[in-house]
Amino acid sequence: MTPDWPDSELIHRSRAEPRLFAEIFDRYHGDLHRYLRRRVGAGLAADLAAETFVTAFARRGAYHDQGGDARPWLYGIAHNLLRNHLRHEHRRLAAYARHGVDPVEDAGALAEFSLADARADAAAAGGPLRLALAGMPAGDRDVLLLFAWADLSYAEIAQALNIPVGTVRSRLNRARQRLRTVLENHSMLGERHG
Amino acid sequence: MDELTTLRELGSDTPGPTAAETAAARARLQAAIDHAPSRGARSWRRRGGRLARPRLWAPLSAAAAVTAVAVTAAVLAAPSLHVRPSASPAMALSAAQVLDQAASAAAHQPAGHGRIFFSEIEDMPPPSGGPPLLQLTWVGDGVPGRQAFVGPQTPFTSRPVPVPDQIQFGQRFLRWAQLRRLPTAPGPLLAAIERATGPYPAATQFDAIMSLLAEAPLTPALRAGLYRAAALLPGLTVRPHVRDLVGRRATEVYLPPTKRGAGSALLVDPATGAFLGLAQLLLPRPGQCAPDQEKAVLTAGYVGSDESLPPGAVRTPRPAVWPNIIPRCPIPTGGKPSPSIPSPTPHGSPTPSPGGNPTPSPRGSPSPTL
Repeated sequence: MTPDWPDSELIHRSRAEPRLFAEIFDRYHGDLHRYLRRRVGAGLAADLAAETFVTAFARRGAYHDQGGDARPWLYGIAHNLLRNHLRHEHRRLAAYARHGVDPVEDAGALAEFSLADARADAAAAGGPLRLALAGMPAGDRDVLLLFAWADLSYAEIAQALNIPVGTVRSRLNRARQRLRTVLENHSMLGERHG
Repeated sequence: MDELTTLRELGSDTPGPTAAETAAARARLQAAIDHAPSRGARSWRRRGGRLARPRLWAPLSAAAAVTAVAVTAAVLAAPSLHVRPSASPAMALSAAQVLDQAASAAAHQPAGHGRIFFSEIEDMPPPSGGPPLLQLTWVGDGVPGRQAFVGPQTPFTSRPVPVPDQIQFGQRFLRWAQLRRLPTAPGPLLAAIERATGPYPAATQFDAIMSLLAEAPLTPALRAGLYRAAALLPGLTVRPHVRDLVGRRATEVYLPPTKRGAGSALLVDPATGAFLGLAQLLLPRPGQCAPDQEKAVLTAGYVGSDESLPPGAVRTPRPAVWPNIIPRCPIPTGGKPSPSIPSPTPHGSPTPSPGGNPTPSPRGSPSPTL
């Protein structure tokens, strides 16, 4: 059922009637969980996603409506929590790039990835892409993944990360350039070995 | 394929959370919500309500008059809806918790064996005196509604009369088929109710909710949603250990009467969360005991035809428990009623007899306070 109230009104009302905040959970938990899972794996994503909503609920009194939905606010909280796990994420991405095995996923990941490797360009490029993601500055990576995986706009990313929109643009350009370089090198490497 | 498209496809088949993960995350949030303080008055409460809010009860037209002269006692039947017992009686629960308990019970109500919703409602005798009246109603989407009234000496087999397939919902009428389009999430549902009732005090929305709960064919989800929508209303107060119109133990969730209008009360079974009845709480005037209007739902459930009765249905009106219909009479001090009461005291419990049954006090006596 699509709720009638916009996020801002729900959050505002939830200050007096806390149970209303459950609607925010229903609207965004699935997407946020999936985004986090793409970044840090299933186990940690579940914990981070749950913690994001508990934290958001505790901070709902400080929520400021900026004319959109609550996603930037929630993703911003999620990223604050995520920063506590950056070391973990970096280790995982590096290991994944080196061995092609996601240490967080189950043991079947290797076979699954090998099959996908043969089917799709994106999957084939997964190793280099993840290597590039692991190697880029955390701020650039956050902007890039919020844009590509969470579908946030420049303004929403700026709101989520509490940075100017201009910074969002510059970080995104830099991150994309880095990805392009990695993919081109990978492609040339493939042609050379092919 | 550019780098952004490639990146978007990386992990695009990542599954969302499992049901267990969602439930676990929601439970963590719910725990935080349950421990959060809730302000009684909300900033978004409607203002400017009128003194006289529209009458929202008796949504199904009383098309039949009944002649009845005596009162007959019989064994009470519990409503057949909401039969799941709660883990603990509603003791020291907040209004929201009582309603949430009722919602949980409603959400698990049995689907029934038919598409006709049957309700058996005891109406309060008129203030001028008179016999109790039992209202039997069969309604459902796509079936002709029927209604019968039974008095102590009116045979149960009295011919039912047709009733419209709609219920008053705020300032308009809602057909049974339209019930399916109501949202079941509490927030949107309350918003829909507020749109229907107009700018009246919260008791008006509460009335609309109770009318649906008492007499409309609802899905379990909508029934549960109505309880939870009611819990969002500001100013709700809970009063445990009361008796309903026919003497059953009840927990009352009510909005007190104010100078702007009457209050309303919803009564639920403290053990099962079953909907027991509803009452309107009038503002007492100095020197006058204003009797309330009250209804007790004796039986409710789904049946296969407009001649069927669900298990537990009764066929005879119950004697009203008189102290319950004048609970807001001033508490006497020094033998005289006080001109006003500082706070509403709906539904005091009648004094239990040694046998456990309530002993009605003579009419006009104030109900004992708990």
